[in-house]
Amino acid sequence: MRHVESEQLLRYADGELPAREAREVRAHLEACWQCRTELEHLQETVGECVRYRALLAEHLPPPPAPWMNIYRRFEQMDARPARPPLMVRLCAAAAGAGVARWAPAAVALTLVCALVVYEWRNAPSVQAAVLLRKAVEAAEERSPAPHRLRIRTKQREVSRMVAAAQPASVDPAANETLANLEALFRAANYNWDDPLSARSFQAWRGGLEDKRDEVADLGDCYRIRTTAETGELMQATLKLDARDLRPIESRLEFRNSEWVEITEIAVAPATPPAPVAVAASRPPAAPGRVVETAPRAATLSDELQVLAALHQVGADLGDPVEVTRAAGRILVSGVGVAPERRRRIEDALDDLPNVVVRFSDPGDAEPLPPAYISERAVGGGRPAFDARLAEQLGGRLHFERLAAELLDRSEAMMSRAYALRRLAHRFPPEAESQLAAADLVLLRGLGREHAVALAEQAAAMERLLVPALEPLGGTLPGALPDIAPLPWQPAAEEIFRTARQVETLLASMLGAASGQVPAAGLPSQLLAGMAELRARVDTYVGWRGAPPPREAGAARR
Amino acid sequence: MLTIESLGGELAGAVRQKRAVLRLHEQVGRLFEEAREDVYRYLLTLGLQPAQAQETAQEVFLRLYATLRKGEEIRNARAWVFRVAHNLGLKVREREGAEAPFEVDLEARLRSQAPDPERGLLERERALRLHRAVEALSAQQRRCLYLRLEGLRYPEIGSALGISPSAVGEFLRRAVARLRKAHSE
Repeated sequence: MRHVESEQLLRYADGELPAREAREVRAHLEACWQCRTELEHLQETVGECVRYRALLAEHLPPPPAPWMNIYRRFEQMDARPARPPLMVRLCAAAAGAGVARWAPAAVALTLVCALVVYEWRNAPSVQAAVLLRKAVEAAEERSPAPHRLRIRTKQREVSRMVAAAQPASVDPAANETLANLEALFRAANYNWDDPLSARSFQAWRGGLEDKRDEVADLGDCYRIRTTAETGELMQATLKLDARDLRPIESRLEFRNSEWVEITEIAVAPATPPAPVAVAASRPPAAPGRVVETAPRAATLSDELQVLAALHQVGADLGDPVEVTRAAGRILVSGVGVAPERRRRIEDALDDLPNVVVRFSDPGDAEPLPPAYISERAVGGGRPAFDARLAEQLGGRLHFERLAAELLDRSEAMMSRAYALRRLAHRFPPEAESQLAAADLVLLRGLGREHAVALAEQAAAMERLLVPALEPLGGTLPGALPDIAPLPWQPAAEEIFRTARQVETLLASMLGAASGQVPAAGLPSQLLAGMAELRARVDTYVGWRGAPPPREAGAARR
Repeated sequence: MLTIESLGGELAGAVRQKRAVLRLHEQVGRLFEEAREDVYRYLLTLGLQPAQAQETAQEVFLRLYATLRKGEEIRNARAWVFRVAHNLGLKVREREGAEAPFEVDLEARLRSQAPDPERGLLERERALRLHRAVEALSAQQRRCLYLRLEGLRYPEIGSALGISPSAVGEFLRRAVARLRKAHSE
């Protein structure tokens, strides 16, 4: 019998032999006492070596200095490569704060306007993209109100309503012009439903393969001009008000030498904010015209059913899905929704009347290329505060786990806050008055569900934050602030505002945002914000403030 | 060309990126906490002075982070750390050539210790015999042994020392044979 050589035996014991050879050695060892004993001796020596290592560890001098804080060094390294523009870092901070995915970051408008100047140094395409993005955010922040547009073409001038049913004009020529324009816009992939908006411009621009941008600062407004190499629309120009980035004017030049200029017609402030009034009741200009084209125009109640159906499949929480009601129909549109998700949404809406579902995939909705992400999304200089927090939590590792969980919670909280606010915008008191009792119950139920879910996330955040912040000087207000009961729509708005504030403070605390708030007061401010949020939600849901009043502490935890 | 019009996509991307960075911090941070003392001691055995060894050990983990940040894939981070520590340690030694290498006088330390009743005198003598035997190994044998003790596999040791895995096997065999002889004396 050929015995196993000592090197082979060591490699066998170390698991370094190829499988076949190892099998042979194993079989041999089973058969051969001598080699097995040899292996045991080998293992003994290995054991001695391990003990020797431990002995050495005991007698070698310990490190002369404390170990560095490696997490701080990571951050310095993260901050070192070409710092991304301020705007980009700000967005990263907003993202870090857990803004709902599709919802806009509500960066304060004044800040936006001030910061736009930072972007001027960039290439026009970046300037245009950033400016449009900011304008879209700003538009999202405004409540969508119906408005009237003046549309001039080579031949004539017409007007039309946006975000409300279009009362058919008595002038057949105007109707024909509008129909022709709609066809032209559709052929050019330009959103006809909302032609004077940053979003529509952005969507068209994002779909272009080959384009050239120009951005000009005209003092009171910015002008973005994009020229396309291909497609029906040759050039589009959008002017944005420098103060609030509201679209002022748009000019589109088509390849067939047609051009269109769109401006908004100022609406008297007294105009009822009524998608409702126009759509559900008879349009004043031509009663019955809407009914002619659709057997029954979609009502506010139908819209509510659509929202409830979307809610059933969770599509009101972060999916890029929008619901609008116009021309007697309810349009459910989604951008960049995954195919499987589309099917679920379509299934959920299948039985509902007057619903048109439209999904699209603009190229710009794709995730950012990884290289770009890695360059930009890492925050810049962190305030020292989060380092103190990390220390408080017994190390960076714990801090980062906590941060990750808080980010998740905050994101979930904000998606509820956005959903609740959308409901409040869509169903103002005047709209509610048109709803049947059952619809009102459904509506209140949806709102309440969002508020309760928001409260759960906020409570979980508070449980994480209180023990971490109290030792850093954060004090929880002794009693919840008193919140005057409000109608549910303004209450929802206030809940949203407070949640945003909490989110922003949290971002500062986690070091994701450049700390606009002095670190010393931060823990208390954050806890006070959380308490206010809780008080608002409790009042909204009826846990507090409403009869029979509950003890303030009862709902606290 | 940047296609950053879609804020939704950007925010989702930024959240993902933030998480990825946090995960990386956590991953490297945890390894640092677990392995820094081992790396430090390994560098001492290479002859670095304690301050140099600590500095070098720290540098190694920062390099690991920088490498992972660049998106490079590292299959066994611990092995990577020891390989880089080994090479960096040798460079430091080379630079500080004039300075005498650090040596631990284990013998004196052990003798100065009051005999531990648990371990006993015999135990101490055995430890000393082993220590002398380790000291008497060739540099390559000793390095293979130390790296093996840190859990590196033959190819990883080979990659750190610039030799083949089978050469590692041979160095280890000889080292173990000599230590066994010392042990059974």
